Amino acid sequence: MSIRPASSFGVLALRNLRRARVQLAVVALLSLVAGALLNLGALCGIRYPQLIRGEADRLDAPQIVLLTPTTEAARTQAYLRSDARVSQVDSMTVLSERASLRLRSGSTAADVVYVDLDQQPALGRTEILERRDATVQDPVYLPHLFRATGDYGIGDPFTVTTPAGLTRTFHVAGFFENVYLGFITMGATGLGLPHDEYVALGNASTPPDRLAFLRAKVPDRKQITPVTADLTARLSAPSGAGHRSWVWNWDGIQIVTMTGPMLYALSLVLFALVVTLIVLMAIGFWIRGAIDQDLPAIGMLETFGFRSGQIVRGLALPAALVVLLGATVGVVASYAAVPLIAESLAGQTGMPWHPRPDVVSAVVIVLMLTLAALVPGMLAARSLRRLEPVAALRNRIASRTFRRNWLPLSAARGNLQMHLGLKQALANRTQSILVAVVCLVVGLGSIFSASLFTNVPSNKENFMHMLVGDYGQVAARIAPDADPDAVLAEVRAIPGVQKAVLKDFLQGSAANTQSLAVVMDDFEGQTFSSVAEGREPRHANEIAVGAVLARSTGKSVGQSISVRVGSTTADFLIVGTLSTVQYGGDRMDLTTAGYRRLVPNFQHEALDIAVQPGTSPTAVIDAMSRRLDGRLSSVTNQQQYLGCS
Amino acid sequence: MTQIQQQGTVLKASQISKTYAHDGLQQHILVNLDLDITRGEYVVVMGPSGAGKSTLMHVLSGMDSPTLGEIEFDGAAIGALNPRRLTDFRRDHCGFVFQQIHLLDSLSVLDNVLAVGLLGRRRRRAEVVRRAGELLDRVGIEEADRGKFPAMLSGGEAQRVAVVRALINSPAVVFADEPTGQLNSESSSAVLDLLGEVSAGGQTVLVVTHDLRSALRGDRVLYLRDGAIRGECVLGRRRDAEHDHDRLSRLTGFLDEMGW
Repeated sequence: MSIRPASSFGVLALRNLRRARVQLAVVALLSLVAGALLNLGALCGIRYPQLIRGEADRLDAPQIVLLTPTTEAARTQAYLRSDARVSQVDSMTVLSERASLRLRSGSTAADVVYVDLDQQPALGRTEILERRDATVQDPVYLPHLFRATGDYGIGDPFTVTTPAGLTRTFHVAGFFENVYLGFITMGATGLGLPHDEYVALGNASTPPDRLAFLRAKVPDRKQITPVTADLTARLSAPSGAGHRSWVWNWDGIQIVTMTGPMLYALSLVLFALVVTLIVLMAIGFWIRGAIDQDLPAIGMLETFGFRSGQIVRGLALPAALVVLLGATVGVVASYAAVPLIAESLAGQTGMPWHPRPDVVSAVVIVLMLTLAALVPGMLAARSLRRLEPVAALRNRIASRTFRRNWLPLSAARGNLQMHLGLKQALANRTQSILVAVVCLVVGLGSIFSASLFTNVPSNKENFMHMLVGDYGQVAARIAPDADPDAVLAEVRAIPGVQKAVLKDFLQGSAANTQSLAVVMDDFEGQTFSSVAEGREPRHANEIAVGAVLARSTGKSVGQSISVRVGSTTADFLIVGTLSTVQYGGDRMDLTTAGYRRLVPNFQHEALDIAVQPGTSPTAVIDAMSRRLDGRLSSVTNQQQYLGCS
Repeated sequence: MTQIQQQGTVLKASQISKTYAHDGLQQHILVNLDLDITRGEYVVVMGPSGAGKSTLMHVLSGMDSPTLGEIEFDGAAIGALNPRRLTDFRRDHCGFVFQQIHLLDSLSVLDNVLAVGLLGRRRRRAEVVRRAGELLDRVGIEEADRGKFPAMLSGGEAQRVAVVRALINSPAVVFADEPTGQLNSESSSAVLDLLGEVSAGGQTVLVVTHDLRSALRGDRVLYLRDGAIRGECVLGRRRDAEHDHDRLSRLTGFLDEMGW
């Protein structure tokens, strides 16, 4: 039984659907891919940030957290309470130590914070997501991140090894979610203990340090960075809390948790745009091809009273309908891939994610793609409108032509086939240009995909360089009472060390934007340079800033920028911009002398060490531990820590 | 002739010219041409290749516009219509039969007719389908063949379907450009009979042809050369094939006179 559409348009549309089954099947498939990628991109780029914010609200997360010695707690708490921008301050005692944790990929160093799970603070609850019904011996609750990465399951033994070689063994009793204590490689890693176990650990023969965990609520989110900057400056001051203090805020959390989803979203949306472009070009080719192939029929239809718009609608609407169907299926099908992405993101942020279908974004995506699919039809309609029925009936071969005869064979020299090909291309210039454009787009898309694949998934080291800039295989923290320059000299003398530099990651405010300050000398000796324009700073009055920071502050090379740490402000000359996503691009590079203009008594605390090719970082770490025992507070195998082999 | 004129002019061309120009070069296809066609008249246009016959048909039907001059349909100038209104004019008042037939290959016989029949004016689908059925009956396309696709039809069958398509909207004027050019004699006769019936039914028919047998069916034969009407032969309404011999003598005499 044949379908009998109720209008001429329906008859034409059906005809075109029948005629171009293969082309439309390809368009449908590509639309499916585009719809799926766009939906996943939208979920990562829109819904995931909403999840992070929603979880923070649900768990009543503070905007600033601070770990500080208990001796400093009362003074710091009083300082925060005196700040009018802070609405609520809460404090609890935690146990903390620098330790090595074993992961599936090896061990990693972390600042471990033991929290008493039976004492929920007023701000920033810890929520148990999963727990074992039966009791386990030496129970410990881990951040959900350990579960999401597949490193640990319930009942697994879990060991914490201190730099002094002390090993504490627990068994995983469950997993928890906490906005600030859920990370492994950043900030502090929380380990939850039931009250009795917590008390027992505090009374152990070699207990962890007892620290105050302060949390502050800053209602005006614009004030988070200034309050943090002031707090950091106070702690950095000679009378401040000293080296053991650690501050983190909501802006930092957002950068850490959003970078992964945003990279995912960006990649997915870019790929989707490339696929969409190919879909549109395929539709454009199909419509133009159908017009060219069907010119006499189009001429006949126009002669009988069909308008050019009606004819093109008969071509464009089936294509749009196919895109609508393909994109709808793609959007629905994309939810099959959501658990994989959610698991991957949870492995980066520690936030479990179970997104529900988002009808609004799904409808918007499908409509956007469908409307986009109408564009090639509209463009084709314009060309058809200029075509008279008589010319169409004669297959565009005008009975009277004044067309130029390109490359006349009587005069053209060279290969006949080449001339015939060129004549054909010149006679069909629009198609030739379209072919060239498609080749260009596909070529660029391939280069983009290949370079993205080469630089990101297949080379984790390059990816990490993009994220965190230049880094050596070994990182060390210098003990507070040790002389950094003397330690540096000794490290450089260790066999197997190729390069060692003093390099600290600090915080400051550049043109009122909270930024990461990378402080070191000899920037230009770095293996991986982030410089996009200009150069790195060499002198105390020079600075290089991240491109994002430069754009957001409206600054460029040659201009000065005001940098503030605490209450001290100094102007610096921008000598370069940096291509980096570290700290969301809000990064500034300063020399040691430059940073001392802001914090006069500043001393380096961190060492970055590159080992010689063929030398194991472990061998260097062992040598450092032997020769510098007591003068280093921690040594980290950075290569292993960042997951790069 | 007099009898036909009494029925009123349906198409009138006044001093029309069609010229193509590019970079100072000009080609004059129609030159200061005047023509009146009365309602219900069967007009045949003959002439050598390149004389401007098809161009004249295109200009009269609004498929193309004259460079100079005026075309009137039922007393209203169609030269003043914008392309959209001109399309509507063709849809509402004109039917077309082409030498190349131009049926849509992926539509069935019935759908080819309905595609035009359902266009534009708000007509009930059932009514259009009924009329299509009647016309297809009239041209001898069986019910069983109406679901066939054009590739499955003979040339004569396809051209008969094309005539049905031209008639589905009951146009005032049917324009036919070499309607029998690709047909054998049997199929040609069937199509010409059909056009004759159309004319007899009160619709105007304008046929462009090289074919003497096609021209014999006309009430009036115009001879076009170098873009101008050089003469006309009024044959009067054809009654039956028995009188064709006399008509043929008059027509061949006229064409000899015209140098054909």
